[in-house]
This record gives sequence, structure tokens and C-alpha cells, in this order.
Amino acid sequence: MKVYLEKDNKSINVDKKKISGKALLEFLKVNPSSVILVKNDEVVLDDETFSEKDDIKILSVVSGG
Amino acid sequence: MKCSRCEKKAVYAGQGQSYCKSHFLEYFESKVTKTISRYELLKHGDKVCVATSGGKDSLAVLYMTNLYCKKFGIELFALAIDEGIKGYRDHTLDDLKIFCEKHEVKLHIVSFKKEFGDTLDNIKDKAIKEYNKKPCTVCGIFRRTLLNRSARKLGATKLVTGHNLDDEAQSFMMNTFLGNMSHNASLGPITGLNDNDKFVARVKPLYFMLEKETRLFALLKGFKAEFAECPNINMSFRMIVRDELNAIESKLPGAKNGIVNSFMEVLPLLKEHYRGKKQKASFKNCKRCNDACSGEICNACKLEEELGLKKGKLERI
Repeated sequence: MKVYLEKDNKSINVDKKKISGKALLEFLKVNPSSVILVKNDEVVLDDETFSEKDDIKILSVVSGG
Repeated sequence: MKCSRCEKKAVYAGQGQSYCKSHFLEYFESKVTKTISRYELLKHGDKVCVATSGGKDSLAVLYMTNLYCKKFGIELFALAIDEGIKGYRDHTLDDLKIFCEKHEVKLHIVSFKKEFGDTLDNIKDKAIKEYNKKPCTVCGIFRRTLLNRSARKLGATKLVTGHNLDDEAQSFMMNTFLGNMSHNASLGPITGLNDNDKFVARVKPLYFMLEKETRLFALLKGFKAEFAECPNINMSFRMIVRDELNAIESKLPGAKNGIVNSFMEVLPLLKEHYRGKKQKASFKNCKRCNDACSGEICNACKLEEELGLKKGKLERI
């Protein structure tokens, strides 16, 4: 599945057919308290399950300087 | 997970509660409004200046403050500082102009280039190589000075900033790590009330809101605030503390709230303890710009001189 990482402004391929948000963040070593998960343009929590057909974005909550 | 208040799907979970979109927006607006009222951040008769950059925190605080001021008939305008950071500030300022036009907020923009003679992009190399000063140090001193001077010149009685709970937890920990406990006495939801008539009191309506909540609010409200991180942050101590606190928060949810709530309990004691010392030091007028400072020359003028910049153009009051 394809996952867009906002902080790095790039999409990456994750070799999974189905995965929970929590497992996805663990797999990518992303801290859950610093991101918001978006599935098909809807904000979701990390108990959500993602599949290959989903449009997945990981938005960063940190900004500024 | 479902919303704690209705049957809809939750978009946010924290501190034992989960919220759907509409209940999250209600929670956010209610908590910010309560912070403004409880700590008397804004009052009838104030002229409110919202320091804003166009990022998510400042759009959220501008939206919320504007909502509050409209409700209570308080005058408000926005103030932005253009530090001259190419590829970063120019983008957030574009977002800000669109936002202010849409929400009918008067916007003033002042720049480092006009007021201090050059952009941060041009100043930072010299600051690092010749004076061993980090860009965040230079930016922080110039920004604070310019915000205060401009707000005062424009007649503001309160200067609103978008500092959130994460910022405050980070500042407290940074000061503590460095052994600067007296600096912590200058934190809190409202500061600078009785310091000197040349300082505009600073207030932080998002004081008890997490950075994550603030970004989510901006996202759910549809504010155009794309992700933008200052390119200079990699060099900052704040980034290290921010990442460590987020790592602790993921293992111990509520840790950042715990830090700020504990800090709020001791803040009156810190203020009391350091008040006497502050009065003894008393404020003087800077010999160059006439602003209030603790020495003969203020930090911004010292920095201007060190970096060989021209004297600022702002009217010295």
C-alpha cells in the first residue's frame, strides 16, 4: 500500500495488504502523538484498519520553529 | 472508536475522552474560551493585536480570538513578521493574507529587512560563522522586539500569541535543563502585565491546547495551513526537547498536560520569588532605541551592532 508522509513530502510503499493504524505507525517508527492519520480524506484514529485500496496520509502536527 | 458524546466515529482521543468532528470542535472552542475568561486574557476596552504567521497555531488562535472579540465587541487586528526565510515564511504569509481577507481581519506585516536592514537568510551565515549564534537565537530576539514595538506603535493593549501546551511544556523543560528557573517565572498564560509601560502584555489563548489538537482544529475547520517547518529548526535545542517529550507522551499519555498543570501550581510561587529580584534590577531605557531593557543597551540593538546591521526604522516611542 502507498502511504503519503507529509513531513517528508513523499509517498512510500508499505508491503502490507491490511494493517491497523497503530501497527502502521510502529512499522514506520512514527510517534503517534506527533501525527494525524487520514484515510480517504477523513481523519481517523489509530484503531482504523487500512487496506491497499485506501488513500492514506500521515500528517505532521509539528510546525513552526 | 466512537465519540464519547454520540454514536459517530471519533476523530480524536485523549485524556479518557474521544470526540467526533463536531464534538471535537465544540470541545476545542469551549476550552479556549474558558482559558480566555478564567485567566482574564482579554477584556472589554482592550485593543488586541494577534501575532500571526499563517501557520496552524496562529490561524487557530486568530480565528478563536476574532470569534471572542466579535462576541464581546473588542477591537482586533493581526500582525505578522516577515523574517525573510525563503521557501517557508513567504508561503505561510500567502495563506495568512487569504485567511485575513476571508475573516475580515486587518493585517499589518513588518519585516526584518525593512526594520533591521536584512533578511534572516542573509544574517544567519554571518551570525553562525563569526559570532557562533544560532539562527533561532537571532530570530527570537528580533521577533520578540519587533512584535512588541510594532504592537505598541499600533496602540495594542494585548499581544496574543499562538503558543500552545507543547510550546509551554518545552519552554519549561528547556529552562529547567539549563538551570534557568527565573526564566520560568516569565511563562504562563498571561505575562508582562506590570513589567513596564513599554511592554505590551502577552496572552496565550491556546495555552492548554495540545499541538495535535490545534493542528486537528485547523484541519477540520478547513484552514489552508499546509505543513511548514522552519528550515533552521534542525539546529535548535527546542527540537530535541520537543521530540523527547513526544516520545514520553506516547508511552505516558497526558505527560505534557501533567508538566504544564504542575507548572501552573508552582507559577505563583516562582513569580513571587523572582519579583523582588526583578524590581531590584529595575528597567532602564535602551540608549539606542529607548525601549525598556535591563542593561544600557537592549538585546536587539546589541545584536544589530554585532551583526553590522543598520539601525531599525521603527518609530521609537
